[in-house]
Parts: sequence; structure tokens; C-alpha cells
Amino acid sequence: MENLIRIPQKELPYFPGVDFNFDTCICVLSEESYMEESYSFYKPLMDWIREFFKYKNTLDFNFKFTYFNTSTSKMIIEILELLEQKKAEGNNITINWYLPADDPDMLVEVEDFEEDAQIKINKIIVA
Amino acid sequence: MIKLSDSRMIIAYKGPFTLQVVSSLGEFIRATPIEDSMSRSRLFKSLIEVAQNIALYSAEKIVFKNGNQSGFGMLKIEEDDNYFKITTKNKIDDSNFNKLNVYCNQINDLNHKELRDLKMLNIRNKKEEENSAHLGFIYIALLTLNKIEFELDKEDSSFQLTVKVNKKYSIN
Repeated sequence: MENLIRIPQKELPYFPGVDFNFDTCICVLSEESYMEESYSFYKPLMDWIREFFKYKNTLDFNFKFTYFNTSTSKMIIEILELLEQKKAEGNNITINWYLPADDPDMLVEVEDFEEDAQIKINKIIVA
Repeated sequence: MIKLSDSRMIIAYKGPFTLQVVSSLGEFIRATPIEDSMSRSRLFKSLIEVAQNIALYSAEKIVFKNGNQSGFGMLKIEEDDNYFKITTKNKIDDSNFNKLNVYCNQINDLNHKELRDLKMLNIRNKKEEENSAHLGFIYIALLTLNKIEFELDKEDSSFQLTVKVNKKYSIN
């Protein structure tokens, strides 16, 4: 299974960085996410995660967003619910959310995600 | 037309709200010296949401040569001593007047906890392939801690929205 990589591009700042690494079992979403067609962007990522668990049973999933819009919120919930489902099936999953220290509003949103998706998220404040 | 007021104008734009335009407006705000970091963050986030509201929901569309289309409208950001004010105006379909009126009034009637619950409910009820869950206005009300101000003009088939972002937010 191939890694899924998208390097953030300055001229397309509304698409996040994607680094889904099959070999290390570490996934990272980074930078900003405020595209209009969030479903089209995130569906292949969800498909990759589903495929990943056909081969492996351990995953570290890391959110390193500096900003995401409300359209992205739904897709975040979808990812969290998928991870929760895979965890319930016996897989070993860790979710980390790196929060910008100057954005307390994001912490509130992550707490809402955590409650809604019923999955533990490790919240890490970064300077 | 949006009326100019005594407030100091920061930026005004009229045209299609492509992602590139939305992104440029956001970068402009990020580059604007704003002392309170939370105020700058909430201004940026509110701006992106209202701009994308025009992009997605304006009844007036610009169709580009490549077939892509984008909502057309107006946006201005002003400041006075206490607030940044984002005002947008765009055309809407007459059939959406009542729905939008009820929706905006509902948001203004809810307290912070109720807004959080409504936001999560709307996310939950959003169909997968939908690009927006009409969450933007709820999110803005949650962020800014202010009521949204709106005007629906049936004669002009237009929707005008004003979002006030405090220039100073105490730590919540």
C-alpha cells in the first residue's frame, strides 16, 4: 500500500498538508483546511484509512491544523468516527491534536469533536 | 449598495468570491496589525466563513471559461474604536427569504451552550457530500460572542449581513 502525501502549497493554502505513511503507521494532517468541496478532498483520505486497517492494526493519527473552516468540521467528525469504529474492532489507535497556543477557540472545537465522536483525543498545546 | 459609514475602512471588495479571493482577503487580515491576537484570529475566521457563504450561496454567479462558477457579492471590513465590522451583501433567491430570516433569528435567540449544541447537531445532520452544513453563522455567533445583524431586502432580492468582532477579548 502506498503512502498518501500532499505537500502544502503556498499558492493553494486552503488545502491541508497530508502525510499518511503506511510504513511508520503515522498520519498527519497539517496547515489549513478551508476548501469548498471538503467531501471531495477528504473522501480519498478516508478510503486510505479503511484500506490501511486491512494490513495493519496500529495507527498514530495527528491533527496539526492551524485553521479549518466549518465545512471541514464535518469531515473531521467522519474521520474521528471511522477511527473510533476501528478502535472498537480491536485496533490500537492514538489520536493527537496539536493546538496553537494562541488559539483557545480551537481547543473548544476539539472538545466538541471528542464528545461527539466518543473517542479520546490527546490535546497538545504548541507554542 | 453598502453604505459607507464614519468607521475607518480597512478593505472593500466587490466581485466573485473564488477560493483565491477568499484566501487573499484572509491573508490581508493576517498581515494587518491587530494588537489582540484573539481578535485577529476571530476576525480571520469570521471573514473566511462569510466570504465562503457568498461563494456558495449567492444567487448571482460568475461562470468562468473553465466552467467553474463562483458566487458574486460585496464585502467590506471597517473598524471603529470597539469593533471590526464585516459587512457582506449578496443576492438570494426569493424562495430562501423566510428560511434565512428564521435561521438568523434562531441563531440570535440562542445562548452560547445552545449554539454549541446546534452546531454539533447540524454537523451530525449534514449529508456527506454536502459542502456546507450552514454552520458558518452559528460558528460566527459562537466566536464573536455578538449577535449577527442582517437585512433581507425583498425588492432587491438581497441579503446583507454584518458581523461585529470585538477589538479586545478577555480570556474566556
